Amino acid sequence: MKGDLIMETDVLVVGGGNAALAAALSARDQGVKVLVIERAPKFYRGGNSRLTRDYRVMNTRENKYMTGMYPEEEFLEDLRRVAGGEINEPIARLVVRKSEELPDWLNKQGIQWQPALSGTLHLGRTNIFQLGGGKAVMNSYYQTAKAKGVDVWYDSKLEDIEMSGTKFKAAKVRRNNRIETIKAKAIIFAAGGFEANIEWHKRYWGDAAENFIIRGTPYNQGNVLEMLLNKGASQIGEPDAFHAVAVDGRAPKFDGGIVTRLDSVPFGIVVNKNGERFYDEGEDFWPKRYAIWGGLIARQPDQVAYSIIDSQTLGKFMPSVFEPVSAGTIEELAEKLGLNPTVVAKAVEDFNNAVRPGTFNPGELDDCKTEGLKPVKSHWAVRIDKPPFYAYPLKAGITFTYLSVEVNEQARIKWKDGSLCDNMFAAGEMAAGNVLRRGYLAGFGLTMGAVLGRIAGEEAANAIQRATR
Amino acid sequence: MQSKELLDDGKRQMRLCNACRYCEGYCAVWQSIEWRRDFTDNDMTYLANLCHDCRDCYHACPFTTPHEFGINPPKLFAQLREDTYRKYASPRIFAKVLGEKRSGFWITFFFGIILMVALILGTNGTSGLLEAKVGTGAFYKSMSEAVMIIAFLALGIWMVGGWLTGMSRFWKDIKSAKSEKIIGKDIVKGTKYALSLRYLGGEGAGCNYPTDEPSTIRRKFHHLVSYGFMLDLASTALGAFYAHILHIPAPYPVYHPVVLLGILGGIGIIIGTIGLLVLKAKSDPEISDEKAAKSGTSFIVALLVVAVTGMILLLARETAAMGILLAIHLGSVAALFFTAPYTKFAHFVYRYLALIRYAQEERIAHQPVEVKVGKQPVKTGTTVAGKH
Repeated sequence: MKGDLIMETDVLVVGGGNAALAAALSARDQGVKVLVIERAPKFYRGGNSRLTRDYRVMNTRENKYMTGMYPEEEFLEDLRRVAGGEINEPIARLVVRKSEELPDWLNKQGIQWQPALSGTLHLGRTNIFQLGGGKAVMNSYYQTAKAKGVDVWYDSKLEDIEMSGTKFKAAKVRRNNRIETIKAKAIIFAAGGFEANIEWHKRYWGDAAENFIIRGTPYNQGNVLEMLLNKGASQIGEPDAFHAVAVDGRAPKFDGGIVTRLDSVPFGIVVNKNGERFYDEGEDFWPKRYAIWGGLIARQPDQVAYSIIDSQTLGKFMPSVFEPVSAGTIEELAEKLGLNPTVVAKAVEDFNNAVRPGTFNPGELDDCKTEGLKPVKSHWAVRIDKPPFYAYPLKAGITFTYLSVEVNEQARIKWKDGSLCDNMFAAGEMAAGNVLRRGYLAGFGLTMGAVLGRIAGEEAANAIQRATR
Repeated sequence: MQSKELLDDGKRQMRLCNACRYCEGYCAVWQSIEWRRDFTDNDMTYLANLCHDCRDCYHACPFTTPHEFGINPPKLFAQLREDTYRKYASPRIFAKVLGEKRSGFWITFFFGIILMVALILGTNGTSGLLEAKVGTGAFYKSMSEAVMIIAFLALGIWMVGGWLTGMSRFWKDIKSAKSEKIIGKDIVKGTKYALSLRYLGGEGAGCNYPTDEPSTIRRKFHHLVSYGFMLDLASTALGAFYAHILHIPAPYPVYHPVVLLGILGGIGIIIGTIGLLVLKAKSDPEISDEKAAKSGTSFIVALLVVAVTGMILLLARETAAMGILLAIHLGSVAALFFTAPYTKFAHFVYRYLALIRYAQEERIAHQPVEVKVGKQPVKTGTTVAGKH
């Protein structure tokens, strides 16, 4: 590969989201020159960060944006719980402790917070909500970067890096259909996972991957991650695992973000393409269960399912973007969905017959359940018998992947032989597997990205200053 | 876009926004949509008039064009507000002629000057128009006191009457299932929101206008204009008090409270309107509606004309030009008053009512939750809905 143009900087940041900008600003604050290369055009800058909502932060003092205290040990315990006990304790503790500084630090970068309101209350104690959400955050980050003199290139894709031994020397970047060579003293990778790369998903899922919806940016192709792994970076996090939720089947293929979310599942039954139920829709509160439904649907024929409710429960969940399919009878509804009417009618009838009397209450794990039905519906089971009937098609919406490069507490990349790289760092989704190899805790991705990004930025700048001293 | 299409697209946008809710911290609009699930035409009118066009939501939205969802609330609401100013004014034909076209003010201004000249000539002849006059009651040596009072009382009644008609119709329409009886507290709160321009505030950082960087400048300019206008109103009222109650006729010396208030108000309007015009020129046309932008500009220019002619009159009131300058200034005031029910001037009426309605809805929404049988037994968003 030929690089015709040469540009020099101190720190090159690859990626343009929360972790990348936290790294860039932190490095810049140490007085070094920083260039950020973002693969997406300006409008789509920030990758999945632009679709985010909140940071999970340790909180030991009163603040007007959060509803209570969230101490270190509880935060760590939450991490251990969702990861099934397997977390990298030193890095996890570091991220948790440093997360307490984030609200102030981010506010200094222009990011504003909003008080806990109705849509955010259930996380109001543990998470701090961005005023306006992720795109507003990214706007603030980039405005501050501009004010501080950080260079930003959009539409710039990292193609390869040149190394001498295990030391980074220069990057080959495709920009305006030319390859440019950027020499830098240190490089920070924060370019996301591979969740938008359907071909990569096919390695684990075969053709089923064609039916996945990608909730976030189409630009997270994992090319930087793959390049690093090919060059011998140590791998961490489950390679074939992803975080996937149930989304409306009519969602756009990419970048539908939060609005494709559907909360109807606990209020009715869900059948697959064959008209059969396949999982307990009322197992637990939806915020605790939505994340398993992506995987459940991904394992159904054609990776599709249908949530069926009736007029009693429409209006009991957050409104969704797409109007439900509706019909006067279950048979007619099934026909509209392209399902076998007799089979679906039978599934609804079997369910209705199995419903035991109880007091319906979506605010608690109520006593409305089925008996003698497989799979059981253990809560909020009420007969589906008040027309009109409604249905939402469901698909698996992929949010992020877990595969990462291994780093140490200074965000330095580790090689397969266990040695550390002195001028190559990683943060963000590309390094998320260092704490959570699986599982998910709302708002933790951003927190880890910002904390590790800041560390990477400072360490990169320090490494340069040590070398020149 | 046709009104029906516009409303349908607006409802589509609001349903999408209601499934997202990332903007809920920004302003009253985003709180209000959370208290609704379906949107009627009248809901759309209400939301449009709650919107202060700060554009924070637009810049925070990941779903604006080029995204296929094509969300653009500031533009949508600007278009709907234009419809509001036409729809609720009467007679409609005046709304079409005076409100829709930028020329509306200029034509009225022209006729206003002719009318004032006629009134001056009619009461005091050519000397009223062309000769310098000094001393107390100098203005009335141009236009007789009685004629001036009658003319502007009539115009004032026309203006306020026009607003009141629109107000009562608008108020009836924006009632929804969420509406309850307004109490004093709601009026106080709504008034506070209006007078402080709370929703051009962006939690202290200001709004994303004219560019995508937060700035408080627009709020400041708007304050200069609206408070400047109120100072001028106060000056006029005080002037009337001096002239008709205390029988001390104008003109007053420069240090007189009537003149001082007038000067302060005039300077406020001049700086504020010019500032707003500059910001408007810098703002992104992608986010505004062309028609709304024109009618906004037209109103700002009208205010500027009134303020500038008033200041010139003050400076030259002892010269022979006074009669003509008086005719021009009074002509501009007459035109402003006459067109007021049909132009962007009416925006404060509808926005104020929307804010009072909002204050009431907010009071109800923030009351401790009583479980209403038959209605949604849970607050959506607390346990059922989640952030994913």
